[in-house]
Amino acid sequence: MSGPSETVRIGILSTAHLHAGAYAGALAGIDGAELVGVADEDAERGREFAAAHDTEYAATDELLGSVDGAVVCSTNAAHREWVERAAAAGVDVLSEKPLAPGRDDARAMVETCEDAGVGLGVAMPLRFSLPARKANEKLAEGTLGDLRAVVGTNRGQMPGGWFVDPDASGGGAAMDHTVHIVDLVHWLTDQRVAEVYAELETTFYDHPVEDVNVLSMALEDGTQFSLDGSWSRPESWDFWGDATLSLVGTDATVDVDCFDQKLKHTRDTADGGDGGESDDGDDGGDDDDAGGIRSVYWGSDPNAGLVADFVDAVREGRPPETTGAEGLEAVAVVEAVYESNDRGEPVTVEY
Amino acid sequence: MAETHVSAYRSIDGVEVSAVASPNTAAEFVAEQGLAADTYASATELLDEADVDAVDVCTPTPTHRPVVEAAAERGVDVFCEKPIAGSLADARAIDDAAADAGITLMVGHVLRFFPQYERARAVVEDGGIGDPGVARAQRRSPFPSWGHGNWYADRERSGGVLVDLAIHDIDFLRWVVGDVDRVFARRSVWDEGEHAHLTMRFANGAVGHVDASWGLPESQELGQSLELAGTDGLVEFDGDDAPVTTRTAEGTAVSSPVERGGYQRELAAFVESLRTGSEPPVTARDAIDTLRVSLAASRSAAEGRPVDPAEVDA
Repeated sequence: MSGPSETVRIGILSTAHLHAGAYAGALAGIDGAELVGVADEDAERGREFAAAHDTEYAATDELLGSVDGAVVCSTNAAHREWVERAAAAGVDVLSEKPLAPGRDDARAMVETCEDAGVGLGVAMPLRFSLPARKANEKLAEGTLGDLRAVVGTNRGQMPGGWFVDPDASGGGAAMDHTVHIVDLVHWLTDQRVAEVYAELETTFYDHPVEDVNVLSMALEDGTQFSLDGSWSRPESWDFWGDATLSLVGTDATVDVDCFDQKLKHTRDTADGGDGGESDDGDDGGDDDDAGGIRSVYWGSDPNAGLVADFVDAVREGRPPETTGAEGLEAVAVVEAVYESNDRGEPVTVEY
Repeated sequence: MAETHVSAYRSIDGVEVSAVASPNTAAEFVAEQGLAADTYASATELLDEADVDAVDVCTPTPTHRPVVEAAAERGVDVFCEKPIAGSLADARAIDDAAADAGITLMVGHVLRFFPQYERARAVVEDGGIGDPGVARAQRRSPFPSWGHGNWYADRERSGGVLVDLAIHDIDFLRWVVGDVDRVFARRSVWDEGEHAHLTMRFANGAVGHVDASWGLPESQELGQSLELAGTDGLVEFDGDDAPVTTRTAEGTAVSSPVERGGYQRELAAFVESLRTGSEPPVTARDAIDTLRVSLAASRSAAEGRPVDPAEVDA
């Protein structure tokens, strides 16, 4: 889109997802990128966001007419509409994950962007986690021998809001916390999930979506892969959640904790109060008002790598790190998760 | 395991290891352990000739049944290592033999006696996490090449990691969370290595995840971790945390010293039940119910479908 030396102009489409703030912060730290403005289906929310992040609130068509790339931070159900509007305007787009609540929508988005000749990426920040990249090096160096088993976790606190409204989110913990680790494993192993068995349940809260999400999967080469993506961290926990991966090979085991680089912070407040962070913490953000014990992430920010890659992709006219087609594959796994839970048996993933 | 038990018995007042039976290595073992014990080439020889109050069975799993039956016939009380047997048929025969003879029989599900596991259960029992939602346990070790004649490598005899290793955590989670309605498992076996995981669906709606490995390199120590997440809280234990770390020119060693470790507490409880005549804290019934879940997991891994432990009958 832009020439090599020009500033890449980025817009944010919807701020329904908390990550919008993290992405705006990441953009502010990138030379050669500018957050031009924000559009939102909720004008008041959009205006507040614009004011908080020193940018402009704009009508969607106006914003799309003035940017090179757009980041969609809407509800899951609205990703498709926003992506299609960006594609129609010829704007490269990075969608929050999961790409869509279902395979049909995700596939349509991939095809629309292909037809429009715009790039489509999906926000998979764990590919930019330096601990995860170290594991990738160990795999490439052959340290593990033959990989035989992968054990992953991506637990979180219950996010509330539209995340627990099936019409907006498409589902609960399985929709929210399956794709990060699935995508990471797809990327690390060059193998896709072939089969899924799911144990889903609504246990921790009284809401219409599942919050227990425990999966037993097999990759195409037979490697076993289990994942716990439950919303099982208490509200008083010291951090938003986790993202871990244990890779068991015939010669070695490599354990990765993507957010292990944390300070332990204890704070007294006049009225006590509990720990925990104010948002899901991917940005390492800190709630200064909270008392008690909490963890403060100090490692490199995967979201910064994610956003920088998207900006470079727009500038260079190349695909972003995680393409829409790869995002579609993760969505296919999620669909198999729900199907397995409904049928009570393992399900072959249809890509 | 025999060494570990001898060491634990030393710390229990009024207990003496007075006889050791093992086909070829009894004398060597007694010398190594510094015991004043008579040696025998077989369990039946020991049972016929030695004057013992109880026997502690640390033999390979398929031999548990004949050894326990022989002890029961002679009215000798038994501590039997886990798994109680490799099949439900053998396990039931053991239970029946002990019941018919009226002997005390305890099975070595030792996690129930490890202070950190016992304390975690107490937190849950006290309502500290509300209702359990997700229970996770992990256990990883090098391949158990220490077994005589490498018998662990013969999966027909050892049952592999699901029946021999994951059974620790399966038993513990049953003890904490309750009965299991179904399991789904996957198992990878390679030369001198094995890894498996299973999901567990408990009758109360909670979900469990256990992963167990014989895949660590030989130089590595056993690793274990536990996590119980509930509606009102979370309790976590990571076995890699140790209070003592010694760094020398040769490397780093860690230890977690306790006044009475899991094996000591386990065997002290056995001795206590012998002295008082009370039911031991882990019965054959408990061990059978746990074995049933391990066998269901093995069947699930073999057949690629969820299995209700009630399906397992043999």
